[in-house]
Amino acid sequence: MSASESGASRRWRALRRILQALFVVWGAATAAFILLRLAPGDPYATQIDELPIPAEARAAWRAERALDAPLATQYVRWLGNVARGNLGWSTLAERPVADVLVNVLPRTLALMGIALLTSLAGGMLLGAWQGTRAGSTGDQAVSATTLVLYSLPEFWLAMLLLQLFAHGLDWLPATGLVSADYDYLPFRAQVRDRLAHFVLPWLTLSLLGVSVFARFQRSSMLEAWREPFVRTARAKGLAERGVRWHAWRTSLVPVLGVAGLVFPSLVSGAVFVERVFAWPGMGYTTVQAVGARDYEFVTAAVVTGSAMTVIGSLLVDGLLRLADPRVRA
Amino acid sequence: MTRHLLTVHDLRVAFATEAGPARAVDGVSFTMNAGETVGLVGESGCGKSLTALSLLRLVPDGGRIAPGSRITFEEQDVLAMPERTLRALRGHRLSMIFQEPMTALNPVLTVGDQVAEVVRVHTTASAGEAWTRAVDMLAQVGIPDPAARARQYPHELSGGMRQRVMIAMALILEPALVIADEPTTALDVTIQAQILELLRDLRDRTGMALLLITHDLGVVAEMASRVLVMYAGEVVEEAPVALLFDAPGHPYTEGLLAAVPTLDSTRERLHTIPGTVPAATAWPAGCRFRDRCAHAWERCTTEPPALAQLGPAHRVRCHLVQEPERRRA
Repeated sequence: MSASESGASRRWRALRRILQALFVVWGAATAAFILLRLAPGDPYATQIDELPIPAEARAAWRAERALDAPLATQYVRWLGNVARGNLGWSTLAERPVADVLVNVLPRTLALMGIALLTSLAGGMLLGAWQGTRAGSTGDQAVSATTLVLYSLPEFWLAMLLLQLFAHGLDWLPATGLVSADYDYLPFRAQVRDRLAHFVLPWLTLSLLGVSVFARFQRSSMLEAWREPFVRTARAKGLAERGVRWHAWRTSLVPVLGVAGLVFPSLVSGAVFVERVFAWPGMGYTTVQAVGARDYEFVTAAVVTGSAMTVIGSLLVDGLLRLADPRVRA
Repeated sequence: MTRHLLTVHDLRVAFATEAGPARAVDGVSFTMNAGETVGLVGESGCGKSLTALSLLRLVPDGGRIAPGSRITFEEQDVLAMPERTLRALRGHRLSMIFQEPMTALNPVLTVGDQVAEVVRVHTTASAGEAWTRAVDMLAQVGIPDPAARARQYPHELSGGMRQRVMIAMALILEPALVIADEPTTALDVTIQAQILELLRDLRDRTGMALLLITHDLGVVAEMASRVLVMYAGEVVEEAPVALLFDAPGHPYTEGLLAAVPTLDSTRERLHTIPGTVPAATAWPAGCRFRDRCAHAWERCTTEPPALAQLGPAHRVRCHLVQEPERRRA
């Protein structure tokens, strides 16, 4: 096969991946658009339906905002706006959706990114440690712990941690992004305050993530540990640390594959966790917006969430190609 | 008396199984001189690979070298030495070529790195120097365009090339003894001949001793000066190669030789040895080969034969040595 041929096929493959990604995002957003409008009520239900005003006035109000148009018309108009980069108006925040996103999205990205990194690092270390001493007391204790964590729903774990660290021990603030007196604090105290509010959401997601990755890393390491190349590494005169490195390096491949699968559940996990801790990121804001039938914010949030998932899986693909020369080809 | 490069004395390796201890290697003794090539022959499961792994203390999990076994290499007690000393020996003075070069090489590291690693572990050479030596060694084992090949991964190389990489890895520090465990079994016939040619060539150039483990008597005839035949965990015959082929002393060796097909043979069917090897958990009393032997008589069922001297360099574990008249035509 010539170099230009493989270059062309690689470009074609990349193009296909991007088209697939766009299709996924579009599909998710469309589903959200339709489902939300099938739910009873609309963005103004609580505001005007209870007011003692004539029905015609209510109808006029809705007509002005094009909420009386057929679903298909609304959909085409919305799609056209999104395609032009106009995400619409958030009826809940009474600001453009883009403005709200600029505020809340970075918080969630930071929370998820840091939680993902701690999960990967912690899970890989813990699982690799277990894999080389499978069956020992330490391994069994860790396995039991990760199995319990792995089985807990995230909101339940979040509430347990909240109960323990915020209410019981009173070490950490229970809810919010910052304390009420944040604006009056000196800079260092402000940083400390933000971090303190960050700990519990991050800890919840990380504990779950570590347990998932540790379980996969353990079995992957266990498998690599039995491979003949581990014996070769020993026969070469490598110290145990070097031998473990050989096995670990190979065991990463399936674990990174799992990271791609875990990513979407981390996105949805963040929704519950932010809700429990009233931590105003994407998840928390989206839950509020769903309750208030804030159509345009919710659809924009779904677009963002699915785009994050797709980008995450593309990143994982890239990492996999780095880790495994066999898929590079 | 000259000092031997390697002395194995009463080596016993047992595995714990549900049916009781499996004595897979059961009292093996032999010596090797510097520069000598010895063939270790036997069918699968006879303990030959395990004997080889024991020399590097690489017995798989669950196996144990019994106390009382002694292995002396370059006047050092291999079984008593601390891990550190052992590691300094492995891959440096005493190295091993494994059977399956696909699984015995790490799939996610370049072959150059895997060869250079031996140099980095055992010498003070810098990473750059180690790499240069690795590329040089790859050239010596007959890999074309070694600088480019060194940057490739095992899956990008053919079986024969991979085995050349294994050989480069084992020989780069010019060890005094190389153990080759079925080095050609996994390869095509034409490649087998090339690999044997390469091994012979490198042996003659470096003066290394070679312990060649194989079930292929043709390989032994071509390469070795002396042969050890193993059966059911024991050495049953030891002889210079020409003598073994001309006048085998043990009925098992006779059977092995008769099983080798020849072109001028008028027989229509290949010769086979009737029966199967007994289980290592329950070696029969007396001679372990007696159920498959055409000459067996009462003495063979009760008294285990000792390794008896048949000629100056010829030892056979068979009662026929004392009672040759029992041999049936």
